[in-house]
Amino acid sequence: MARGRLKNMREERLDKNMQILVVDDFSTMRRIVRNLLDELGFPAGNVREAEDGNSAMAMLRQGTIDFVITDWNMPGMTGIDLLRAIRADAALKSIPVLMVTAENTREQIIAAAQAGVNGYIVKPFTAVTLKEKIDRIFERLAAVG
Amino acid sequence: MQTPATDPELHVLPPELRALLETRDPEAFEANLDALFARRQQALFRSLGHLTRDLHASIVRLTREAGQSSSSAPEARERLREALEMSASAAHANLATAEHLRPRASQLRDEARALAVAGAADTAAALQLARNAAEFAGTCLEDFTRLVESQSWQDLSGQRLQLVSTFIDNVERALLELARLTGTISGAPPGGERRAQAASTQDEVDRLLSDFGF
Repeated sequence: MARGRLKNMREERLDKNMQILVVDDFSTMRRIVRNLLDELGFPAGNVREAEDGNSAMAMLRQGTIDFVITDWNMPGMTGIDLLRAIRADAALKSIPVLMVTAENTREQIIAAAQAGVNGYIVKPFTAVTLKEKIDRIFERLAAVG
Repeated sequence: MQTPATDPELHVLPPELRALLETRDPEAFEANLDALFARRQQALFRSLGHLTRDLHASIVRLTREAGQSSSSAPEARERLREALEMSASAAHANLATAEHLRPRASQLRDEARALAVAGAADTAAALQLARNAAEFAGTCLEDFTRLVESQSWQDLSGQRLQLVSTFIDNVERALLELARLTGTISGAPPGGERRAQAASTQDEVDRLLSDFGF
């Protein structure tokens, strides 16, 4: 179901009703991202939350998530490991992933790019930056088909 | 071949070690070697004792300055956990304020836009908008007070985090000194390791990612 919607989103660029998974071990940051998404027109009811990579993977395997926004530094499974797990899973590998993190070394950014991240935002960030990166991700996905 | 007494390289050694190497009697050599090790170990244990006392004093200071009479490390961790909870609580309070104000602000904006379209003839709507705006301004003022109050929680949590940071500095210094004493530092000056290069702004991150086709 989500895969079909993802295909449509690529063709139609950006669907404001897509199902978004926000992954962060801090409830405050999850709430901030949820608020900013709501401000950008993504209904709060379509945003789900996970507090680390392991619980995120369990939610992703239910097959309803279209887009993942994840922190890097989390207990259990980190954001970079979550990204690698998504890309290694045949059923999940096409889901776009936006990294929103305080981790900002060149090595980490390059590692995320090599692991297949679709966008990278450093904290703290604004709603404008979040919008720019989400728009850019789906523009690129639409361009590659 | 040079004898120990004539070898010029021996002259750079500490006198006690030079004397040991120049000992001809095997039994005396072993006795002197044991004595040398014993002296070195005593110095190490004395330093370890000082370091242990310094660390304990740091823990006592941390917990005392955090407002506690006890001096245990578990309580220091508890203070740190409380600081994190205070920080989260303050952030949630601010977010609740934003969530509280946003729908009402959005509604007021829509009413004002509708009135602008209707024109000045709709005096009843204008009056209602004025009442709504006044009520919303009152709500904003109350919420601004709550925002300011929540910053005091942030300040308090910051002070506790500062205490923990100082404690960690003390522990680090003690451990580096311990490493120096036990000879495990291999020449690199403490804290002299190269820090990973950070792309601190979003623009720098974007420039870096552009090399990967982003």
